[in-house]
Amino acid sequence: MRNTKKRDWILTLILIAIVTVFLVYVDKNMHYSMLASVIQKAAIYSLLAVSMNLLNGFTGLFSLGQAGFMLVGAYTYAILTIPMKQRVNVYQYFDGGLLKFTVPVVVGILAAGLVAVIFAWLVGKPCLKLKSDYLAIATLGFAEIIRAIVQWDKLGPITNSSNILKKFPTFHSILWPVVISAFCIFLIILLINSSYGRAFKAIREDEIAAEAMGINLAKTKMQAFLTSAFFAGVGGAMLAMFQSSVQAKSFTSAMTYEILLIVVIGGIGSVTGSVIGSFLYIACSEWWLRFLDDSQTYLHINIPFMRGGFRMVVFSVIIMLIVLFYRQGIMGTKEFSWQGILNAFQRFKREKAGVDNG
Amino acid sequence: MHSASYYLELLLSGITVGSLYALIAIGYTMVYGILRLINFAHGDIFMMAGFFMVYLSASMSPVVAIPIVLILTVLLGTTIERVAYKPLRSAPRMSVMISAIGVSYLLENLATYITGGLAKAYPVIPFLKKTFTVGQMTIKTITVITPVLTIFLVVALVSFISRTKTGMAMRAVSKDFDTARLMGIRVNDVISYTFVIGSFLAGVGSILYFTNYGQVSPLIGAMPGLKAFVAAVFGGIGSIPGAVLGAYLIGICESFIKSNDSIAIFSNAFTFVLLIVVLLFKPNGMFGEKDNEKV
Amino acid sequence: MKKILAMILALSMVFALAFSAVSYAADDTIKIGVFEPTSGQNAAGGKKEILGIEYAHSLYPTVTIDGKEYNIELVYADNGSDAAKAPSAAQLLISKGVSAVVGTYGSGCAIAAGDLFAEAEIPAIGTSCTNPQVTLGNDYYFRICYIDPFQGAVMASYALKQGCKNCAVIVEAGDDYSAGFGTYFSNAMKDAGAECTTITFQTGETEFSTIMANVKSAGYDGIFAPVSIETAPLIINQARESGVACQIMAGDTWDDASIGQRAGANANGVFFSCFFDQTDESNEAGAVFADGFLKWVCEDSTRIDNNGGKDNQGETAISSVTPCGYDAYMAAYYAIEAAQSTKGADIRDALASLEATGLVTGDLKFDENGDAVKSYVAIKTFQDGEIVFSDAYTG
Repeated sequence: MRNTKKRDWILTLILIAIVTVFLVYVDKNMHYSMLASVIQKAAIYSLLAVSMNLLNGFTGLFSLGQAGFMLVGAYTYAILTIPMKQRVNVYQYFDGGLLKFTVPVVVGILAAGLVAVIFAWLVGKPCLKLKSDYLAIATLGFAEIIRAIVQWDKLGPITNSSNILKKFPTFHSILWPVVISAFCIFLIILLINSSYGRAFKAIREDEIAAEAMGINLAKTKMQAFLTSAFFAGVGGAMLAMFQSSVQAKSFTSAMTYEILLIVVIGGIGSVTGSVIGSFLYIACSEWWLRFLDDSQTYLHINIPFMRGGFRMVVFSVIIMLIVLFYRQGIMGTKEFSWQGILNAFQRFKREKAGVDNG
Repeated sequence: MHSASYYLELLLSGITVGSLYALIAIGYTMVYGILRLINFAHGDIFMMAGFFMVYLSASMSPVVAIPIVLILTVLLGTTIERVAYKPLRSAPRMSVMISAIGVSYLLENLATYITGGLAKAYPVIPFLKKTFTVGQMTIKTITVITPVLTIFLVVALVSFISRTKTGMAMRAVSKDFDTARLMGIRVNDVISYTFVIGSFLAGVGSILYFTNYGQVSPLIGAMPGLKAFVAAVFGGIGSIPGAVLGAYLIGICESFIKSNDSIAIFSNAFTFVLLIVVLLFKPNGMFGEKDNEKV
Repeated sequence: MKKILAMILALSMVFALAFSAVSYAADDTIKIGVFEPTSGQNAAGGKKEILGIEYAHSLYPTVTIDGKEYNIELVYADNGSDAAKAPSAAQLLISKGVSAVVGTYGSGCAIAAGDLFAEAEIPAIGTSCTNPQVTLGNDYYFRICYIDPFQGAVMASYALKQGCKNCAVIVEAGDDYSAGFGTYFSNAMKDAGAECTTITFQTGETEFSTIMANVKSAGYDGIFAPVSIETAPLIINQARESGVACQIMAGDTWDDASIGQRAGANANGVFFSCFFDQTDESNEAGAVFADGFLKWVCEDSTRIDNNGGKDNQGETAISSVTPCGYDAYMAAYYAIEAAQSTKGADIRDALASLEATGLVTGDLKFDENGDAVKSYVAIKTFQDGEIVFSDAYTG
């Protein structure tokens, strides 16, 4: 037992080292490549997907408020960190805005999470009592309400009304989004494996039984909801940094659906799955399947149906196939473990040996 | 400061919009009543019905195209049920809802692909497009036809559900799925009928809605769809008169909110505020039946 | 089964990573990025600008740098008319190693992506994005067209000429073009002693009858609506259908035949400002362009479709954004020639000091912000569903 633990540590450290070297290499040599862009965006989406999974997969609360909390996070970060001398420019219709100070990036990101938590508390207080599908539609509605509030012109001096926010500090290295996301996901894993996490899972399995076991339903649900919102806020802030500009109207329910679908692809109830799902989804939608949108000529034959928008059609068909036929997603509720990899490897070797002998 | 005709105009505009929400809301409330499924794709069926009309009328007169549009819409609705919802009947509720979101995503992307993401001009149906003047107000024929037709359809539907055998089966299934099956009701058929009715009304709604605005775009279904769902919740899921009432309330309130520019931005958000308020104080809606969660 | 699936996915990921390291850029090719919306509410405008760019490319497909001939390759990225999708489209162009970028239609996308281009040191040449924010504080964004404070002042002076004293300005919330242009128009009107009230609506709104009830009730004598092509017919039709008879005005986005088709007779007398007019005989370069371009468009049915189709007389018109696309490509072309380099930073420097004559929308020179110095505005109007030239402003 102790040996396997030691082995796992060593393997993990080796993996981290390899990934770091790889990232540094990519950052130095291909900073503007699609690969670098996908790594950053997928890392951010990993965090967003894991935070959504914490609610939907681990606690069994079907919430569709993700885009709302991301919006709060992104705006909090942007509003707090736009440099003073850029404010006149950004808040051009509001005389440079109301806020007369800026905070460091780290504080901005933390504030993004905390403000999202405050909003989550306001949302959760009335909504968490609701049944599964009512909760879904109420949280979806809250995301819309938050979006309207942010766009309200009376709040313009703070939120710049519905106009774009930009010129805030962004990532200069692709390492940052990966490191921050990894750290946050690590924290979520710790939480899931703690007694809190077990209470979450108990609620998912059976609310009434969980209550009978002495779990305070309202309190535990709220804990899960707030945690999820915190990381959604942080993820929103990072998304803003990645895009270098942010505007309320883009945080629609479609954005929530996108993250929900990532969670489904990866497997509801698996952190590893959400991470793999994010990388696959982002890589496919931004990069590997891009060619579907361009008219292609193979062997001098023009393929007629390949034009703008075809990528998304193919994509949604794949998603439907997963939803209907691979309901477990890629990982189901399983997680990554070195033992699992080694076992699979050994099985593979045995099978191969079997084939060779036979 | 505003004249009476101004408020009357706002009211009329609200009633028109409300009627359209009502036609969509019925589809939601019936499906939810029976399957306990928020059919997120319903708004997109409505949008697709609009595009059917656009493409069909390219080769025939719009009036001839109307029945074909309705048939195609019904086919689309039932096909979606067969392909995307039926296989998941025993799955957890969340899976079905995700499937509904997936279908909605698919329909929107499909429409974006086919149209190139552009709004298409909706064909002009001559007798719906006329305007006439009463006093200072200019009124469109469609503004009058929409609520009248809506009320007529609703009355027809309610009597269908309360008088016919199929209607009785629907009520039975929505009360208790498994018992209904044991009683010899073909549950799958009943569900199909529900989708037929829901899609048909969405089709009728789409003709009225898009004639009013003159164009269809791929993402137009999402918002009316959500609002119609809220209307259904407001009225009490499963209650058709309730859903219609909710739809009119939302339509009219929206119209008045939009008329005040300082709060106009909340016209969409208002719907959801209403939803949350209703869920908090009257979780089963205004006319909904109480149902207890079984242990 | 699932194991195999997972394995395949993992393998494909590794494979793709390895794949990505290989760059396909042939060394006798220079890439120009086309950053335009081909989907979303500005798709119609974006497609027309692409036509202008492609036509210019068909005339000038190669450029000579240091005695070596380079093929110019156009690399496309659809920004989806959405400021949220614009950054990822920009990143796509950057990752494909473009030397310069032309586009876009719609200021919002240009503003959202501008900093990314600047960071990657790739110069971008705006086509018809008229909001001042596009180039302000961004050394790498240039612009072919005039800017909104100017356009707003011109439109205000026309509105006053038409006798408008109290205007409703209808703008889309969250759209930089709409909000900006509306503000500059209002300011110019207010400076002249007239009144303006701004009314906002949300993206995707279709119901304007409430706004029209307000217009009637408040007795506005003019509507200024700098909105997208998709929203334009809704506003025109619903205004006329609810009995609003006042003057309706807009800006460069409305130069699109589809608005006339959808609004029909309702659009009669609606006027708007734009960059170019094909019937203007004083513009020689414009006449040559119009001739050649129309022939080129009619060679291909897709091009005709993208140009907005044929009107009742079977003719296809030239939208004023198309010459902007053409001129933006030409500016990039001349700058590459002047810089004698494929490097973005060099091309930027060449652009900053570029002086080109004989372009379609007039001679080209950029000021210190990177905006072309322009003084020509065409005013057009709708007549029975067709766009006709009404007046020209030369300041």
